Amino acid sequence: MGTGRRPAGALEQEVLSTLWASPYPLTPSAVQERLGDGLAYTTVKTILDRLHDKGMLTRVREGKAYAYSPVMAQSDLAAEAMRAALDGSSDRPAVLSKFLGELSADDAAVIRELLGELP
Amino acid sequence: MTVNVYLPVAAALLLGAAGPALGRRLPPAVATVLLTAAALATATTSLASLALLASYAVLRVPGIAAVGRLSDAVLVHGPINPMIGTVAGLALLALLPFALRAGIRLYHEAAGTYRLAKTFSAHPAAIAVIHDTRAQAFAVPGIPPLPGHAAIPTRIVATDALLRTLDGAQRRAMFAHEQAHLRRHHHLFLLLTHVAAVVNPLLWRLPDAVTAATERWADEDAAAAVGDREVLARALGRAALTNLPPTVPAMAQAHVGARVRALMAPPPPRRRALAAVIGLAIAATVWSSIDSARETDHFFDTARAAWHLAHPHIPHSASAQR
Repeated sequence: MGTGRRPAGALEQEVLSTLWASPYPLTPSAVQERLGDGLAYTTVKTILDRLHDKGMLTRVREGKAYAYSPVMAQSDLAAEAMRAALDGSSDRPAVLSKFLGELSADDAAVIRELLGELP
Repeated sequence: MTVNVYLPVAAALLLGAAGPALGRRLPPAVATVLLTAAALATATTSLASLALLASYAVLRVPGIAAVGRLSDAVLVHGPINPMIGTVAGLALLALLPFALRAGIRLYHEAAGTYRLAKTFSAHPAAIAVIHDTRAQAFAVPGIPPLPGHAAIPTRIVATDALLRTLDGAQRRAMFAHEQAHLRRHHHLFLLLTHVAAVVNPLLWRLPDAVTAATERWADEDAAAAVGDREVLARALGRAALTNLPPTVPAMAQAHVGARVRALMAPPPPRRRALAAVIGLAIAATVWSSIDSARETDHFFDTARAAWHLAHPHIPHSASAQR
């Protein structure tokens, strides 16, 4: 994939989600490698530093570089609000757009058939 | 008049019944815009029509016409059968509890979303990740800066379970989907459709239909943004299957299966003719409502003039003069 250019916010988003998807902390070069797209090392490093300054990442020394890992979204308030959004009445939310609706047994069968090799 | 006053009611009934099917036939962006416009137009005009019809019946109640200084002799020959007016009035009363219930529910959900947006506005980045075993993400709408109210930025919230389930390209497609919701202001379409369903509860199926259309719209936008339809289909499918076994409600609303199927097929056809017909129907409904209101106004003017002819000693009140 990759036409290279993306808006700055999107890049930050991808760096963050890459870190989230990793089971262990990542160094800038590891993030760079996972993102592909020929991003410059300094670009990745700058984004990581910025996110760290915002308090969204923690870092540990790993050899010469730092390895970064994401900080959980924070306050109890947010977590509580989030859970309220995920749970209960919000299987039919009014104005909140959720990525996934409920999945019926038929849906699961359709998806398995269409996408073949999925577990 | 006699046809024009019924047309909005017929349109609301038709939209309430056929809206979801129409939404599935139209391309999702067109479906979202047209269904929202149709819901608002038919909800307000059908309510106006019922109120108008009911007013003919109410004014035939002995004594009421005199209070309004309207001539009974003219009202007797009104264009609307009082029986029909009575039925319209009863229909309004019957819809009221449903409207109240939907209104209270909408208020609570809108307030909940507002609290959520406010909570996440303190988060330092456009994306917030929270720990949850369910794979899920959602777009939290923002609020532009208003007088007396600070702006609330948009946020995308995802669970760590979802980010771990998807690969890099799939995550990109998922974020593109959520960003499409925010960029296209889908929450406003949803809010307006819910309001329409509060105004006229006959349209109760429309909010789900517009929700499905906005999901498909965001899917198509995301597929275009990443240049690949299948990658989003796989993201959806994989994430949905990890959430199994589900707690399946009798009526699932956002039909993940249908969305995956649509993404595995070529982009949807435009169906310009169908869209044009619906656009014309909306215009005709609004026109007929305005026309019937104008004729009713004219009829009551006549009744008022006749009353004053019969009571020459009572001066015209300021409000009755034109």
